[in-house]
Amino acid sequence: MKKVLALGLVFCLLALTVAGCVPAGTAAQDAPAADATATDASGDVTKGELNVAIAADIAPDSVTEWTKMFNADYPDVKLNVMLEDASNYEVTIEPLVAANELPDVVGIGCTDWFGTLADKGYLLDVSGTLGWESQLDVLKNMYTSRNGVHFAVANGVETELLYYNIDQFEAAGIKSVPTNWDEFLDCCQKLKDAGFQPLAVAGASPNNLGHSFISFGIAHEIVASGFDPDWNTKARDGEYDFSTPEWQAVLNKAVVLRDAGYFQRGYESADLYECMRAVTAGEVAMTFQGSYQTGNLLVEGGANIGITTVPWNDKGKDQVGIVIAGDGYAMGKNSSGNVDLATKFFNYVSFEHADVYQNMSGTIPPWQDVAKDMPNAKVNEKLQAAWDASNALSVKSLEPQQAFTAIVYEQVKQFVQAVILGNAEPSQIGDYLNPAQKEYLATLN
Amino acid sequence: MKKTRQACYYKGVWKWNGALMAFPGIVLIVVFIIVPFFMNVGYAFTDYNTASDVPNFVGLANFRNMANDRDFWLVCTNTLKLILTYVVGGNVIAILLGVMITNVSRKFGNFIKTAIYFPQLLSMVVVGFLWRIMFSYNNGPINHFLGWIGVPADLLPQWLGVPALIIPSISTALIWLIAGYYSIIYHAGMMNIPMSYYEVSAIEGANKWQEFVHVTLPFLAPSITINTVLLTVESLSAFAVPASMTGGGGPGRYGTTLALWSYTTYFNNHQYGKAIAISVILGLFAVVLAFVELKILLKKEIGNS
Repeated sequence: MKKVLALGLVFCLLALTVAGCVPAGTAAQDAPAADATATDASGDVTKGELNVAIAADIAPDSVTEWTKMFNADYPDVKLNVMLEDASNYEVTIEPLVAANELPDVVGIGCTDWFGTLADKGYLLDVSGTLGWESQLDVLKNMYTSRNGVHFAVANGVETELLYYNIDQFEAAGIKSVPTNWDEFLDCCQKLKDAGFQPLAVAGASPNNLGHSFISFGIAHEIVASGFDPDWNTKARDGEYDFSTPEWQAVLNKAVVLRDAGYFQRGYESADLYECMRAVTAGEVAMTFQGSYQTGNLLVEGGANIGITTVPWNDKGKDQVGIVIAGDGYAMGKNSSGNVDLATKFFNYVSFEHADVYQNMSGTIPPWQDVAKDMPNAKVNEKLQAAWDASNALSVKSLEPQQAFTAIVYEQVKQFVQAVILGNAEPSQIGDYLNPAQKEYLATLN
Repeated sequence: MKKTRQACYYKGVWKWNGALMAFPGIVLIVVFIIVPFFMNVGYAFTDYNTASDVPNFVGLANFRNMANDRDFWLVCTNTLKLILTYVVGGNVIAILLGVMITNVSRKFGNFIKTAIYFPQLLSMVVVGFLWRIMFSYNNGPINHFLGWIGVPADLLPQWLGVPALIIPSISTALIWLIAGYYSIIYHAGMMNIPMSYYEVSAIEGANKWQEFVHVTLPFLAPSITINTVLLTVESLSAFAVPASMTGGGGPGRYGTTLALWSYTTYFNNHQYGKAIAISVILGLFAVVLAFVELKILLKKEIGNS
């Protein structure tokens, strides 16, 4: 009897194990496809099942809102929603790519890796969709892969800005915001003399450092100077030389700030949020951040913060605008076999109801004609003014994460951090980036 | 004769039943741990790419790439430092806590056991962020306390900013997390020590320290063996706490361990072959270290020397 019971238990456990190994949806896939998608009288697709993956970090309620709205408009469509981490899309997407289960609509970042996925056919071409046609040309360029696949619509456009404490500026006797490098150094010194900490720097966050100092350096030393405005296109081939004097100078100004003691006390171990907290609490006067951090810096009850463009230009020369493509929405190699329905949801979140995300996040809309395509956009007034000023600059430069390949950008971040912490010299940039390019070439498969 | 035949019959049935009961667990371990491990080893010799169809054999290229990386020796050194501080510190703290639990009254001992086991209930990421706040230079309680007792502001340590302090800070967080768990193991070991040995040592005039060194510790050798091996393997696979404490590896990668390096190489760099090679080396390192530790420590156990 005991043996029978033991055998029965073992059989049940085995059956459970095997049952758990059956992939979800197998039954649906085996079922006849006749009722899987149905059309209404007009020919629109209104029934079926969609798999979508959307980031929920910055405006998590937007996902809930879209889901509710879409379910209300298309009650016969089953929406399977997966949440992504916007700070690292790859962690969610790579396993899905490896398992060949990329969702129908997926949130992505604007990096070369996603361009590579598009070239390999994992992301569909979205040209012709409303969102693609309406977005800014610079965003179209950034979301075009090496082989010309137009693979995503951005959820916003961003830039790098200088956030400063208006009250501390007044107390230090600074009458106007700096518009060039000399004026910026003068500001820093006046703030320091008045007893304030001039600049908050996230020394412990290579990600944050990779957005700021080096992007300003590249913008002015490489792009605006005329040395190599198309450097990022050439660097994609993996044989670009970063050890020229112009590249060796990109971080010189950051070192000047460091050596003058303008960084806040403890900057070596400060992360991004510590940085922003210090500014909103009035402990530090200024910080360079992406415009997407406006919501975290202009907080109710916090310090009186102003926003201006980045004064990294030499006196007599123009400032350069840094363009950052917001994260995007793409269409994955269709996992549910229903491209029309997937396109419907794609248009829903990327264009028709993109205002849901914009209103919650406060990002700058990505459209050429915002008044026509997103009349109810809500952007902070100070941010809008700063964005307009940045957008009006005649020369633009790409943000490093979106200009370098992933492997090289990883070394860029490490290099910038090493320089800021005094462990490397700006002239060593070639030692970091040139070998990384060779590694990048080796991964092309 | 009849009894012996019966005994053999029941022994055989019991062995069969035992094997059958263990079978599902063995299948799960083989399918989800053993097989993926060996597949991983295979991929380490290819140019495997998440988005590619067929990986090609590339020999030792991934391992060479890994060894030639500017950060390779630094990451290995960080990992060794973590093993030393975590294993030694973890064992010492756990033994001390075990002694404390064993020697307090039952009512109070139950409260202490619950309190020191509490960190085990927290997620590793929460622990990492918690200790990141604790070690914060400007706002952390530790530096606040040091300032309060008179340490000048410019002498306050940057726990997660100075290379020499990053790994010990990570070890502190990890030890806080696991000390309760391992102290329970030591407490159980101490409860199994025959009282007669303590009685004899008392008669011989030994003080508490001598009692601990010459009676308690030798009997704890099996617990020390198993805990040392477990702590070593844990320190090698430590990922969530270092990642969340240092924001991805710390300044200059001084907080990056092999496990974290494998993760960032895979997901940030998309260097899949190299990341897999790192994980294979990590696995081999764990096996060799565990083997060496067992060989040395088993000899120290009573009855084995």
